[in-house]
Order: sequence, then structure tokens, then C-alpha cells
Amino acid sequence: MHRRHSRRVDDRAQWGTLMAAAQQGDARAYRALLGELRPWLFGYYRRRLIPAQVEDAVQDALIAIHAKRHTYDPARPFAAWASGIARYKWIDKLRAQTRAPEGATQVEQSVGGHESAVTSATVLTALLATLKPAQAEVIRLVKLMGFSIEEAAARTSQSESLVKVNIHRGLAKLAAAAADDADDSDSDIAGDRA
Amino acid sequence: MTDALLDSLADDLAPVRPRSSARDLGVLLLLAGIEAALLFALGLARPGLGYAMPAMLGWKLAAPAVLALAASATALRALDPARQTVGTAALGGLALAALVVGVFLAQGTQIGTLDPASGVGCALTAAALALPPALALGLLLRRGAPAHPCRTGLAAAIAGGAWGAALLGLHCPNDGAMHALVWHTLAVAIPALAAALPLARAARW
Repeated sequence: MHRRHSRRVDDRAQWGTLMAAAQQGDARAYRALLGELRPWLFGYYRRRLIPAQVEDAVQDALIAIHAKRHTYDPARPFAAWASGIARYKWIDKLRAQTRAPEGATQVEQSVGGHESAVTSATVLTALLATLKPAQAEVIRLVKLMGFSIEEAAARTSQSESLVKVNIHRGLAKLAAAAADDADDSDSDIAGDRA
Repeated sequence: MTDALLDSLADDLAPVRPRSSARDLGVLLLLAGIEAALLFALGLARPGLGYAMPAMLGWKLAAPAVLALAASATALRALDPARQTVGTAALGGLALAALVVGVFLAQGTQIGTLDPASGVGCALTAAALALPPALALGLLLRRGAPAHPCRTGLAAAIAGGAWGAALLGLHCPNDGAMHALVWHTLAVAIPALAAALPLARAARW
């Protein structure tokens, strides 16, 4: 598990190098980068969009990354640049959804059957809101968005050890809150039965 | 998704030069320099641009120039998608501070008259002078990938208006406080308001 995580961090550290090579016209490096970005983008949009829209959003993001590759500064972190593009395209999708005629949206949404995902997202948001902002932020970045500890530290201006501590404490609080909720539900059910 | 899209993107790859905010700002400065040189070359520059400048002339030149530089840098930095903040509120604060400085400098100087005829002339000249930098900013915005196109477009529009007003300072001979405070403020605001929507559209991607 630890080895796999380390390897993922190493791979991601290479993304900036691959993009810098791509900017100089290295098609093999670029193809390798796109191949690695694709699953990352799938993961990113799977947590934010209904399943029927994920594929579309990934393609949009890949095309945007291609069209705007000159805006990447090799001296800066690649992950922040790529997630900036992914985020913009996600918001674009949400805007398009609100602009779409009501009927069209309903048809599209009925394809996926994503009630459980929506419920989970709502519950998760509520649980994260009970944490300190620094804890919620690093849990969102590392555990939900797939950033590494190093990347989360860079994005939040926390030290790496503080990120780890905040994740650990935040998760412990979430576990305690979830256990409390489960106890409450059990007692409600018991009360109903009685 | 098949690999076809990834293959076609890789096949389409051409070398690109990474964009740089500093280089883009240099392009804007060069453009403003060319406009200023043209004003002098065509004999359209006002007299009295020497060491002993009246206070309001100094303000007419310096205040929009500082705002133009700050707004240009703000808009150009925002073209990096990794930047999630733009800084338009800070620009608003800077514009307000410049106006307050102008009001402060106006104390004890010749107030003058509003003179709408020359004022409208100044506003139109500023709009014409703002056009080249605003167009250049539009092209730079099209190449960028801002996280917030509307705010970035607004910052660029303020930059365009301020460049026009700064160059107007080289041309306008009226150093009356009333004229400077009203018409040279409008010389920034009117082109900025006019350019805000098109530039925000140009920033979308």
C-alpha cells in the first residue's frame, strides 16, 4: 500500500517533466502524460458529476489541456495547473447543465441512477463541515481528490507533517461522528420497534 | 473512451513556447511606448512635460500609469489556470486611492472649470488611445486560460482604460483640478466599462 502510494507520487512528480518535454514537441512524452492524466481525470469527475457526464468531461479536459499547454510554466507545479483546468471544465459543465432546458437535463440525469452518490456527497459535505477548515481541506485534497501529501502541503501552505496530522485527526473525528450517527440511528430504530 | 483521442492529440502536437506574464507585460509596455512616441512624433504631445510639473499634470500621468501597470499585471497573472484568485478588489482599492490622492493634490491648485467640450474631447481621445492596448489585451486573454474569465476581463478592461488615460496625460494641456479629476477619471472608467464585456468574453475558453 505504502509502496503503491510512493510510486503514485513519483509518477505525478514526472508529469511536469513530461509536459515540459511535450512543450518542446516530444510526442511520446506527451502521449505518456495524457495516458496518465486520463485515469486521474476520470477519478476527478467521477466524484463531481453524474456518471453519464464523466466521459464527456474527461474528453473536454484533455482537449483543453492540449489547447492550453503553452500556459503551463515548467517552473511551477503541474498538479495545480492541471487541476485548475479540470476545475474550470467542471464548472463549465455545471453551467451548461443549468442553462440546458429542464427536460433535457432530466433525461440526462435519469440515465445514471446516481441517488446514492448524491446522498453520499451530501452526507460527506455535512461531515466535513464539522471539522476545522484546515483538516477538511487536506482530507478533501488527499482523500477525495487524490492529491499527494506534498501537493496538498503546497496548495494549503501547511507543512507535510501538519497535513498528515490534520488528516489523521480529521479522519478520527469523522469516524467518531459517523459512529455517533450510527448509534443514534440504532436507538431510533429500537425506539420505533418498541 | 478509446485511445483514439489521446493518439490524435499526440499526433497533433507541435512545439509551443510557454507563455510568460512578464513577456506579455513587456509587449503592452512596448505598445504604450510606441503610442507615446507617435504622440511626440506627430506633435500631439502637450508642452510643459519638464521637471517642474504642475501637481495635477503629475497626477494625470502617474495615477493612470500605476493603475495600468497594476491592472495589466493582475490580468496577465490571472491567465494561469492554477491561479484561483484575480485581485480585482485590490485594483478597485488602488483606483480609489489614486482618486483620493488626486483630490488631496487638488487642494491649493487652480480648480478651473468643468469645461464639458474639452472634457468630452479628452474622453474620446482616451478611448482612441485605449483601443490598441485593449485589443492587445484581448489577444493575450484569448491565449490564456484564466480560472475566472469575468474578473480577468474586468482587470484587463481597467488596464486598457488606464493605459488610454495615461497616454492622454501626455496630450491634454488642461491642468485644472476639476477637469483632471472628472474627465480623466471618466477617461479610465468609460473605456473600461465599454471593454469589460468583450474582454470577459475573450477570456472564456
